[in-house]
Amino acid sequence: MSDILKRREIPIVITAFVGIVVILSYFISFDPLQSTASTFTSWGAVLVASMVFIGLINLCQVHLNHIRRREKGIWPFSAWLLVAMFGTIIIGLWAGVPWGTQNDAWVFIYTYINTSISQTIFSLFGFYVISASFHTLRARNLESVIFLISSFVIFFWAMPVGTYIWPGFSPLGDWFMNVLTAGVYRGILLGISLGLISFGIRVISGIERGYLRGGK
Amino acid sequence: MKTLQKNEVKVINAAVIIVIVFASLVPTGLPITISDPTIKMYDGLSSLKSGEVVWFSFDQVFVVLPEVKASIQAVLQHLFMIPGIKILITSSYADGPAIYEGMISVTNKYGKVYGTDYVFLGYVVGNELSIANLARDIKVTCPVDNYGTPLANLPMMDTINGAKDIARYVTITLGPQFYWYIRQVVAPYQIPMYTISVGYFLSEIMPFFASGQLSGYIVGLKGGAEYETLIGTKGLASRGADAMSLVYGLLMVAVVGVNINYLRKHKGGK
Repeated sequence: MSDILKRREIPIVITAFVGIVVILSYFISFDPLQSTASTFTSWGAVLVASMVFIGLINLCQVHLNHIRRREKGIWPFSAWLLVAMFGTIIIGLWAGVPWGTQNDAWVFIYTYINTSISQTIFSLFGFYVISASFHTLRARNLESVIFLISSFVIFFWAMPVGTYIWPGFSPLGDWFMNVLTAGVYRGILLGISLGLISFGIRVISGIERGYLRGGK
Repeated sequence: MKTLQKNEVKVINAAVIIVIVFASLVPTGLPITISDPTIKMYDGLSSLKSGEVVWFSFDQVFVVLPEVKASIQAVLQHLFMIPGIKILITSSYADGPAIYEGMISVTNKYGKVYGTDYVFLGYVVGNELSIANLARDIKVTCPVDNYGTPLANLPMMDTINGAKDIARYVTITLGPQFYWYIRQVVAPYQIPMYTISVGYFLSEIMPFFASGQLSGYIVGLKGGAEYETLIGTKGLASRGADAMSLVYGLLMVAVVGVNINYLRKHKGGK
């Protein structure tokens, strides 16, 4: 019995069946099909939620290893991460009912610690972008001059006051964004979509077995 | 001069900080031009009739909140200004509920009543799967709201069962969730979708606006300032727009100066 359950064909058949039912539910209006697909997607949402705990366990394993091995320059930050993570969880759960967004302690941590730190770190990107622009926008050759001119057009287009300086920046910037940029991204998105379709067909048909113990 | 050239990046960063602080303390009131996607979003939401439902999704993380906070407040305020419409609010990111709590007290100044005019379902786990499930059947996916109240006890939810009962969809996107909504809400149910996005994601959403799958959008602080101008308020975004214009101007002047110096040094191939 255990040999039968270990056969790779079982998860492949399950994957194929679920995949085909969910895909067909988008194209065929048939109530039993729709409700079966809805059940499968609900199960999937529960599995996604359970992944949070898997991630938590994995995080603990990785960082406890760093602490156990006293890895130079890393283990103090690993220890601090675990203290902050479990501290937040404990405070959130035991600071009193109600839990969640109505809990004062949780709100305090999110508003005055998480928010402030996240936004501070992200704000630093602005200075990196300024520094990168400064070094990149130099008229060294013909290509860089074209890049410089087009960057200036986009600067004026993106400025709130830009089109007041010269109204022509609006159609010019729109052309750069709607024709050049959107065209490139359209190609990239089409390529990604075709790749995803191909990958999905391979998973459903059992050719792609990377999710089964390394695909052997 | 040599010291300046040696420390040019530090000087520029310091100048940017000074300009931002100045613009924040002394509003200059620079004019704001309004772009077509913002007008389309404003017109699309303004055309909502009494009784129609807007699905507003708080898919946002704290990291980029400074860029879109003002935009979110402006759009929420606009929705609360429109008489008779219902607002269904959800979140597929864990940060969403905390951001919602911070926004709702600031924007609900028009007497809208929770449970009758707007409902918040909270964080719905499952990423794209949860969006698909909500679109199919809200009450099965989420039987209670964020505060544990059964949806059957909320008068607004009597007539809302899924995406087919929704008139407009507004989302805050900064990444993959944009595609979730295109696939699970716009494509199957043909609901007009509007988005509040961040600057770095603009290139990715433009093809969808061009094809009509996205009916309108506002991007970043500039988009928020445009929307505030349209709804007739002067808030965070309008103040930030002054700083934005001045910083852009400063950067362009600095780049021109550096290039003049560069060309002067390398004149004649030297």
